[in-house]
Amino acid sequence: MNSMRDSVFLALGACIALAVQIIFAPAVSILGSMPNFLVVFVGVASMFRPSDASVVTAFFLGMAFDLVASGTPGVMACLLTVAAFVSARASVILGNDTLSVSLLISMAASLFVEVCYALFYVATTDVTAFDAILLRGLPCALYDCAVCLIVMPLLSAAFARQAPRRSAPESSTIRLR
Amino acid sequence: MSYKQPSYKKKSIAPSGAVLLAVLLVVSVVSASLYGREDQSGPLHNVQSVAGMLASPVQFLGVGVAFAEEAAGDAIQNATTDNATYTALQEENAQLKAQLVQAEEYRLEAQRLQGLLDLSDQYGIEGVTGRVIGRNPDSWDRVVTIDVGSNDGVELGFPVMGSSGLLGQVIEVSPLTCKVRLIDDPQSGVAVYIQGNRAEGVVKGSVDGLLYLEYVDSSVEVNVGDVLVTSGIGGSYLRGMQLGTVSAVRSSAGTSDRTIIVAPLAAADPLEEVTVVTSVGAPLDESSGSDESSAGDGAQDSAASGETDGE
Repeated sequence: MNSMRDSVFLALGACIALAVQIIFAPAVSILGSMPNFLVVFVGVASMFRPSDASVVTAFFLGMAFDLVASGTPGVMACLLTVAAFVSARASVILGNDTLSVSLLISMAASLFVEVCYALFYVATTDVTAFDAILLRGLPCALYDCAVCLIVMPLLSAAFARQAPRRSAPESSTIRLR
Repeated sequence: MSYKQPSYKKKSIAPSGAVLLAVLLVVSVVSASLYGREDQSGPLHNVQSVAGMLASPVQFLGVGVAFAEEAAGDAIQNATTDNATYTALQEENAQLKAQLVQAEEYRLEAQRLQGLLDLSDQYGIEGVTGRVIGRNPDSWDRVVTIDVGSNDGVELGFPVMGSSGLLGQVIEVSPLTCKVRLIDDPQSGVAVYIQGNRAEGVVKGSVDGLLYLEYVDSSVEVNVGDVLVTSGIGGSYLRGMQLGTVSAVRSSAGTSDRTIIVAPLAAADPLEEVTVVTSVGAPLDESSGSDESSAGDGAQDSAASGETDGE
């Protein structure tokens, strides 16, 4: 029952993240760089819900984004799936009960996705690696990190509210280190 | 500062997690591979067209956000205006009023001239007019969505004109909407010539959002303000459509290399009206006996193969 509730919650969050990406991202672009709300959501969700459901959600979210954004279907899906899996593993190993670790994992996921997407872009177009990574990949990753700083406490609270009550938390608060 | 931590049972991902990851990655790679191999009418392309059409109402909400953002920016700018700026703005306002009267005269004159010349007849252009209803939600592609589609006769590869010049090319069509790759997209390239000296080159988009004029012979003199017009070479775009003007020419010291930056004439602002050129006859000033042809001839091949015009 709880896993079903988890899945529904993740799917709902994914839909909201996709809608936010489509509606708001073009409006808040800075010098052509847009934040990727999907990466932020996947990073945070997979840390707070390190389960198969978050990996599957990341895959479908990426596929939906590829289809809507005229990208090559499967590229963002692949990157988000890997990011979700690694974030989940990292949060289990390192622990996600401190803000710094959570942010570090999210930022690493953002950097991974943006740089890998830039490399894919370099491989499929005649854009140089310098332009793709320095003018797009890194600024976008930086933008994602900034969004992550804002969104993470909100998502954290949302996940905390939705969390099943039968399993006791290891600590009641995220510690600031 | 502290906030509640979401409670979850700390456990390592089950072994099925790795298998699931592998399966999903295989599906991703296979779909990407299939997409790359199939042509524009393939099943994945069709699914993408339908997905784009379904997402267009959501994209349209983004237009409202863009307007709200612009209004908020203006409001903040007005609120932070000091006295000196206010006086300057008043003077500017007076100048603008005078210019407005003059512009109205020009408009009436242009209206009369438009009626006489009838540009549409001159170039034999027939098109479908639509509005920009959305922008691509990623940082990589400069693509906009327009509210006309295959039901209106739009086909893949058709060129799209803005109010004052070339805007881009149709790359995806659904029954109700289509997507247009703008000329400043890094994957875009348009064969042009400089109107003054007829020197040919290719205008290419870039990641930094600027348009660059490339492949111009180093012996050709290029000046700021030179007008660029499509040459039609490669078949992707019609000949004679104004694209932009040269805005800067930067020479490298000690070499003949130079960087030529182009300012486009048309912009794909939200709700801006654009025209998808569906067919074209021969311009009156050229071979008057030519048959009417589809605007997508040749362009379709170029769009399908992903090649850039003129290369």
